[in-house]
Amino acid sequence: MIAPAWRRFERSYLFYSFRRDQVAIISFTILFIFVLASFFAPLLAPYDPYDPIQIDIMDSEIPPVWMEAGDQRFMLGTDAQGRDLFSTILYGSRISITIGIFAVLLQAFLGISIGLVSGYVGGRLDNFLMRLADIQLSFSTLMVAIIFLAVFQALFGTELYEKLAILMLILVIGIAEWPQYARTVRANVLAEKKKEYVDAVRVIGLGSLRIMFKHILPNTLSPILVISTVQIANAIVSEAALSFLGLGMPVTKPSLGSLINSGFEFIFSGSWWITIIPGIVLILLVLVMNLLGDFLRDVMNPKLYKD
Amino acid sequence: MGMSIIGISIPVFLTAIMSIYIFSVELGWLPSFGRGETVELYGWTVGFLTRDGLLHLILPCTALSSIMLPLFIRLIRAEMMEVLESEYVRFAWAKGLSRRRIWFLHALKNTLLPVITVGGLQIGTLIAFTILTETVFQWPGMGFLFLEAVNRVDTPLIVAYLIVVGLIFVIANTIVDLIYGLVNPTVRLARSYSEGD
Repeated sequence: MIAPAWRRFERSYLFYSFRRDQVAIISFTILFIFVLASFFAPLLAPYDPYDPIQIDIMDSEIPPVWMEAGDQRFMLGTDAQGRDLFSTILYGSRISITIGIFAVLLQAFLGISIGLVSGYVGGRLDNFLMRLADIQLSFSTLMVAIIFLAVFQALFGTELYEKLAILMLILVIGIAEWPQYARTVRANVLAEKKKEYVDAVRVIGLGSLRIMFKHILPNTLSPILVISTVQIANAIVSEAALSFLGLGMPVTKPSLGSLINSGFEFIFSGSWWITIIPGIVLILLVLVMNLLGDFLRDVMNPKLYKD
Repeated sequence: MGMSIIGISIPVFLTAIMSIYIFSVELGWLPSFGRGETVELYGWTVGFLTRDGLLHLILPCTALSSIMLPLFIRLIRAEMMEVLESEYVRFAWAKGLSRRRIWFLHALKNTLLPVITVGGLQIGTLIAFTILTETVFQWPGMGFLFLEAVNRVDTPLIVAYLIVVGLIFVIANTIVDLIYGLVNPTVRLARSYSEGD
């Protein structure tokens, strides 16, 4: 079942250019390691940052091992609460990647369905939905998220918020960016709709829903794939920015952003590693995704086939 | 291109934090937060005239420009590639003009058109939405004001902020449109033709 699909993928243009592009191979490897490491964080991490019994406040602010005051037990040092930074980063990137992926799934679901319907049906509905998208786009994501999260925190209290933080972040980031998908999909649907195969399917007598999802959607997949990688990177950055402002993940369950935020208070006393190390991890994660997105865009853009 | 994609990938608050760590904590050259010393000038409190005030400007400015820089690099690159393919550049080559003259005088002028449009939009963003940078540097600007208002659930202030931001964007876009008409003669021509003269 899997073998023929794999063989077909192996012969595809995508895989061919992937093998010839070193930057793409390196970024994919790094991303793969990141995802694996964060997925298996409970197995890999020497300590559990969520377990208060394993945290000793006396261990706080120990620098990484390669510095003089370093401790063999903590490879990358500890943060202000005495948590092992390496384990916390593993768990943190797990949260960041989870939020990134699910937020983009939500965006894609909303954006693709709205874009498909809007492009296929056309007319007044199309106008209405696209004006809605314009309105949504004219608000900056960060601002919508700040207002929404702050109001939620004020209304329902911090305790409930800490429990629901992941869900809220996914919802906010997911809802704020759906027009990106809707616009791309709609533009492609408008181009596809005029083609003969759609007429042929309509003459056979299939229903609109079936035509939209089974026949038009597969032909709009490549731009969706391209924006998805970049959107995941954007979602991770948005999450980190919100957490940095204190509106994202709580300090008890830190993501990369809240880790950077908690370390920022200690940067003036010389404990740079609490901020800089998670910062480098975040930059690497986002950079790798952007590079992959660039690679995909170059490969899938038929305009560039010529050279 | 490599630099610009790295620039895009670094979130602005990290650029800010790292520059604070390097230039204020380690080297001790520049102040890390606040507006600095100000002077009174005919009832206008201004920080541009003191050395301290100017020093406080350096880090926030560099951090902010680091977001915009990769954007413009990519924009100008794409636009330049398009313009260099066009007929009039080929004509200039045929005429035997020097490479520098073609690139910087003939081609660059036309690449700047989209830069004006994007730049105008970015000015609005720079004034209104620089919440992250202003938080890191404790800069008493509009973004910081907005965040404070949100944290205190100060609804009238939030609403007023949104209205003023809308106004800023409208004004910026209008000015960009006017400049665009002045800079690009084809827009003017199109307008006078459509008026039926």
